[in-house]
Amino acid sequence: MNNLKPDGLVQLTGIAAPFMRHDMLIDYIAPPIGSLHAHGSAVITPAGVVGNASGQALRQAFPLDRYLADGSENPEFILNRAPWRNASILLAGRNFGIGGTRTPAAARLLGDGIRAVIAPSFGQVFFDDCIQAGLLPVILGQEQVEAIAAAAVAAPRRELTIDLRWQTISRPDIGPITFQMSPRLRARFMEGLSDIDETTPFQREAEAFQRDHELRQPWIYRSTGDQR
Amino acid sequence: MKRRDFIKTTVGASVGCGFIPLQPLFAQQSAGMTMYDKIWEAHEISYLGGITSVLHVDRMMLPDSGPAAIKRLLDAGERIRNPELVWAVADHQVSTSPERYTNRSLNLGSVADDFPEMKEELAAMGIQAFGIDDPEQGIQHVVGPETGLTLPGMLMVAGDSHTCTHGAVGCVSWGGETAQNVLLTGTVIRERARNLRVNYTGTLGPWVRGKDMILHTIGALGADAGNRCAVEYAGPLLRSLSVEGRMTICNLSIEMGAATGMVAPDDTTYEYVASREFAPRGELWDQALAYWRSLPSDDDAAFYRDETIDMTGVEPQVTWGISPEHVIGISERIPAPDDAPFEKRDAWRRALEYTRLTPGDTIADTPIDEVFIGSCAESRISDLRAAAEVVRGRRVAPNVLAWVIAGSQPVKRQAEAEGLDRIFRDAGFDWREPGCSKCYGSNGDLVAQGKRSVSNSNRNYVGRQGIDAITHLVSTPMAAAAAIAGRIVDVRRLMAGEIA
Repeated sequence: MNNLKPDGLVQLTGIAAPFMRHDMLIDYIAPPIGSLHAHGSAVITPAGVVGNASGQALRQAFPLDRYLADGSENPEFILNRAPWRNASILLAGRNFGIGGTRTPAAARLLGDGIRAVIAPSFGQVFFDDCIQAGLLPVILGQEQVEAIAAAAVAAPRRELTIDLRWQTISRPDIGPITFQMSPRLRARFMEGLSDIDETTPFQREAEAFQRDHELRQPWIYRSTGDQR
Repeated sequence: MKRRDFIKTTVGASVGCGFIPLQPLFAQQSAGMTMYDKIWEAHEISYLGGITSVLHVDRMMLPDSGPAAIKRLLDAGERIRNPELVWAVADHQVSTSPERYTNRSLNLGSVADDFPEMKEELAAMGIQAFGIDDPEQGIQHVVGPETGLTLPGMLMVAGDSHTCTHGAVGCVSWGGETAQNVLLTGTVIRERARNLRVNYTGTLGPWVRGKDMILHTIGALGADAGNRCAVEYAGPLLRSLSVEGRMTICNLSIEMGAATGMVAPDDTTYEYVASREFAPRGELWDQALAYWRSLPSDDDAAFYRDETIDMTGVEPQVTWGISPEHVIGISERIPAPDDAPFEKRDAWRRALEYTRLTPGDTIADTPIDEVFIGSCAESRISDLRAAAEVVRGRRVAPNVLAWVIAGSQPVKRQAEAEGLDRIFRDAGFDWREPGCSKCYGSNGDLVAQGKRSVSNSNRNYVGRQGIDAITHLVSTPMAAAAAIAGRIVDVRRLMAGEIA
């Protein structure tokens, strides 16, 4: 288990890729192995699962869009096209990442070089996954996201900047647009904190809490079952 | 009270995950508390302002990767904070073939070996681990309540989405936690959800059950209705359900977008929990029971949102699209995209394209290729009994591949003791070993490409059961009826002899 401690993120400047499909499911960002297998981009063997020729489909986001059934890259897919191949910001549609939790989904986006997703709304559980993984989720009004997406199509090489100090998004021809974020999450991203970084300072309190809790609710701790 | 005043003035500035109006959590000041708030506060180590707290974890549940994850931490010289509160079970990657115990390579990855290899080390630490050879192995969300590792009033976390299932016994449980943090610190840091209550009233018609209640609810309220909410299922009809039926309802809370789902414990719960292997006994039981009785939401508790679902006249439900909210009654016709609210028309169009259905047609009589009965939604003994009642004396239609997978080894043994396996086998079903299987396919069990599946599981997303595979979510008896008829049918009509 890697310590997935993300780097601090104060200001992010990069190419923004518009992938504005609404209601993007986590099952689409990081599909079940089964659908990858049937798609041809993964092979299930008794020894485990192996990726396609490039071995990437199991590690990347949107593999069903990214690869054709023969394992080659889909030239039409936005993140396979220049300059969006090098995008570090994803512009997404409404309800991005709905459908549950899939920790690998956020991790795969990060692995693809995406550091932030700007969308009108996120699936709540996936939003929490993003926070844990260190992928910055930014919420803007749908019209604002669409305006940035239109600009990203019109002048794709012009870089977008997300600045957490001022909570603004800007480009030479856009903004600055202000976005909202809770002070804790903002600090968490700026300092690059993980869950462990945030909870470890409370270990003494946690131990004191537990001593008291064990007195009040001893049945939680005193198991009657056989050890496996 | 200080805290509540503070929240009242600051929570508006906190940002959730969407442009949903964020109303002050405690706008309506009242003395009463909801069950979710009671359990939250009972686990609160530190309140960080806004809606964020550091919470104590009573149980951490790990899947197939559990032993390997613990080994990596130990090898790195780390210490597991509360090993006796951790348990693990092999479910996602295990083979469902009866050969899996002898031909261990049928199980994917190293799941079949990780548990026995780590057995002594885990036991020394007090971590309960259920490998494929364990007599109580099964799907984690079946095993937890069944063994009493899940108890009322607990805060239980895991990685898996459907951890919300355990809320049916009156605890607060959610997925999406990183194992590393919980194993090392025994705590989580989380934002508190708002309280949504769904009250069930009316009566259930014949062959209408928990699965139909929750599918109908998601259809009525929407697949994002639970966003940033903890859902408490309540009402007289809900009270009449068994704990297993309540689990089915809580299971699909995540498909409603909710942070978690739960049911206040009552005598039905206590009867279910009593005498489970890991449930308290004797004096501890009395002490626990007294505490559990204080958990239900107070009469004057304020809910952010209160919904009532009247089940009178609601038919067995079936999904027609690629979201659980794409759901209709069995006698209804497939809707047209123009029937949808404006912002959903595009999604409906894509859904119908994927499921290859024509608006205006009846959903009934749609021919099918496969039937899957299993999953953490409905694979408990009462579910299998309901399926067997439909199947008894009938045959699976030719060209339909039909599987039944008990949710756990105890469920499987009980079903076999009652002769249910014979009923399924005689009818032409495959009777397989416990695991997640075709609900998710991460063990290699897949619906064949492009085939139409009727499934009693919880997700009908694009490619969920296999590439281009179409999934119709239904209740267990509806799935059994579809296997017999070879097409989507009304189980009530099948049982009345109106369908050949």
